[in-house]
Amino acid sequence: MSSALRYATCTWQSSGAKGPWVEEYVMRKGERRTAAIAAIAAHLPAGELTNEDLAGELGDWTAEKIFDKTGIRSRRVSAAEECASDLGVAAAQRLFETRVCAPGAVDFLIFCTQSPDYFLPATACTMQARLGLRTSCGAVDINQGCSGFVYGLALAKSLVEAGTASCVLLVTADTYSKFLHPRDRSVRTIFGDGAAATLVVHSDGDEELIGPFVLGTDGRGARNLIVPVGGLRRRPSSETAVAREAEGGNWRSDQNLFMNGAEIFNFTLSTVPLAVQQLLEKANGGLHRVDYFVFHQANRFMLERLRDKLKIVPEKFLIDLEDCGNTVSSTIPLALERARRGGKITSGQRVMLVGFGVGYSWAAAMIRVSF
Amino acid sequence: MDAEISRRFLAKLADVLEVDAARVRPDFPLADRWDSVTVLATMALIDEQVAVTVPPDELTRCTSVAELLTLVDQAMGLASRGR
Repeated sequence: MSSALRYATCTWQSSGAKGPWVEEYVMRKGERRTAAIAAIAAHLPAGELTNEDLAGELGDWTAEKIFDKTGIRSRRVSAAEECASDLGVAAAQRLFETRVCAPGAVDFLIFCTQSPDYFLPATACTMQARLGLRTSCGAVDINQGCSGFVYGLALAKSLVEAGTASCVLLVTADTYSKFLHPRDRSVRTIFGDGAAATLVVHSDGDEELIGPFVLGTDGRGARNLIVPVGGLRRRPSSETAVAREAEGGNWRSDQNLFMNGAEIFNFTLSTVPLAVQQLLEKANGGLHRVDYFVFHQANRFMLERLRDKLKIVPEKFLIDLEDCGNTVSSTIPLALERARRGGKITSGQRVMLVGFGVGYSWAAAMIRVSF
Repeated sequence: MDAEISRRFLAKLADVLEVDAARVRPDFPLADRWDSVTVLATMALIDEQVAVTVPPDELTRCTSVAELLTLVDQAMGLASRGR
């Protein structure tokens, strides 16, 4: 090595096929840093909850009616002892199995979840050890839901392009099923558990491959999608554990997830089209310059309404949640990975990502397919 | 809303309510109709037809089609004044 700094070459392949076993991602001195998604891998738990199961349990809706209203036929559900970190570790291990890079090449881990293992330590720290990442690797948790993947991408891009990190592993994972009351139809029909691991590295080119971004927050909507008890604001007690009948014959306690679906729907219809418009302006392009749209897979009804409102043709708008439901922060990477594998999106295409929901929080980004 | 939009809106509202279109007149009762699915579908219909959003708690207070039309008109008035 010629200097105190050691520079090697980043050589990940953009084909998405079996890549080289990269031991280290290091920048050449003076090289422009452009972040790119090198790979995505997903993992779903083995447990399954079908519409037939729900119809049997809840009684008043048939399996077909549940599908008709949500676009979902089954969801994957984690086992009692299976945590988001377990799903996330499995997704990351699957990513490493593609040999896109070695665990030792990762120099930053971002774990996005709303169902962490502990209050402390950060779940990302425990995952660093389980995944065999080096101890010189940064590791943080971020708490976001449906916007979490796009927020994670914004952070990963910034870390890479600022030179703070060269190989960022972004893991999204959630087990919302553990927050749901068994007799709450409004959420049990929608949410599934799942995880995705996305590798963000620097590329050699000058073209921006991740971004621009539009980010937004409106905390006035916090109460409309919330687990009210369990943090330090309201501690669990025998009283908070008592379930009561709520609207529409649904049951829940304050320790369960509550979703005001109508308010969330209103927020989405008001906010997402504006965010899309702002992103198009930032990206200097109209809808026609976007090859594909991958929105947070909330439910089919909401997606179809957004698609029609935005006047996006169905051929360019992904709806892919029939067999896994709404997996919160993992819906976008799951859908991206499946769309790439299934040939719906191809290398070099411009794809718009939009996440929106709990918070309220939203995030939209353009990416160029590089995985 | 003008007569043509109103006619189209009521025809689609009949689909949402799963009743015959001829029954959906101003005095058609809505008080017992507001389950979660109907609320969402009606909000989507209003957004689709007249491009405004209405607060769901105000929607579920509507006890007749006439009240619903008034709520939509009010929302359109607010929207046209830049709200």
